[in-house]
Amino acid sequence: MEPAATASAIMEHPVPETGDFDAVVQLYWPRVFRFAFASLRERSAAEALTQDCFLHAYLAWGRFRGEASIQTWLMRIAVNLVRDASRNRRVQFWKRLQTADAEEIGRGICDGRLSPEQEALLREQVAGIWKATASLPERQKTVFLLRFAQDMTLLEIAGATGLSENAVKVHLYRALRAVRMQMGGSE
Amino acid sequence: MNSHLSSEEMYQWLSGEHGADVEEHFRECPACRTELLQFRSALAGFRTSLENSPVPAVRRKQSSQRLSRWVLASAALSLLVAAPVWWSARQQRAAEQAKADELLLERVQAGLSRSVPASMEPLMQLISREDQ
Repeated sequence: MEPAATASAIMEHPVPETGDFDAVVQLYWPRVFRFAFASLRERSAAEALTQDCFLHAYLAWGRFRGEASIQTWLMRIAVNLVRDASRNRRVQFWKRLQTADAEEIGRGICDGRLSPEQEALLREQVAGIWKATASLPERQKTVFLLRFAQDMTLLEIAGATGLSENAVKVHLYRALRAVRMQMGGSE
Repeated sequence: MNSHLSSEEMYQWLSGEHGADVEEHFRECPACRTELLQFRSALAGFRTSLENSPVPAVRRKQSSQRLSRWVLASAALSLLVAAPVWWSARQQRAAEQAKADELLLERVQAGLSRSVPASMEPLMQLISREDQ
């Protein structure tokens, strides 16, 4: 099977064949890494976590029954690993804030359609979101990142976090309120 | 039209979980629309900034199963290399032992073939000289 066709089949049909694992890695590696990076704010830690995530997935691949989509299943593994990593690294919180390379991250939002003033405002707002998410409680941050960085639905987030859909909404609204306040808005 | 959307209604809209009444207000209220579009644009910018940040290439971590497979393979290879060396050394030791045994046997044979014991040989030599 061609890689593109395999990727497409995986997207459409949640039950994979064992031989498709390489295609799963290729397809989901960037998504898992980005979630890990946005959560941990450190590239090397995010890369190690991404490797761990796929190692866990590889070892459990034979038991994957396709009850959830592959993305939800992988993100559930990643969420658990991030939670464990955050517990172990809580003492390095301030270090994480410093190592989050906001300038590097902010370079990626240039938009030719915006005026320089609009672009400067957007950069400032995006920097505010990065700053706000760094200090969010763990669950709010996870839910926020899965919704706005991974573009997952509330139902998928519930599947990945083990929370009820209502609990996901509550955490998401609290996170949005904190982010909005950081951006200079009202509650 | 109500005054403005509440915070919760705004969050519902941003999360894509809003009803028709919120959507109607969004269309009709420029202030709420501007605020929501600006917030959505910032959230999209956040996502873009993350998507545009470099992602390291896929690097595989060897599982313990794969690792043990490598350990077994290395052990088998070492055995293949070591076995002929050990066999050769064993053969050499056996050959040396056989040579030593042969020498000992020769000495025993020589001892047995003497007409008098070795300790009596000097005396026998004296006797033979006197006879001459």
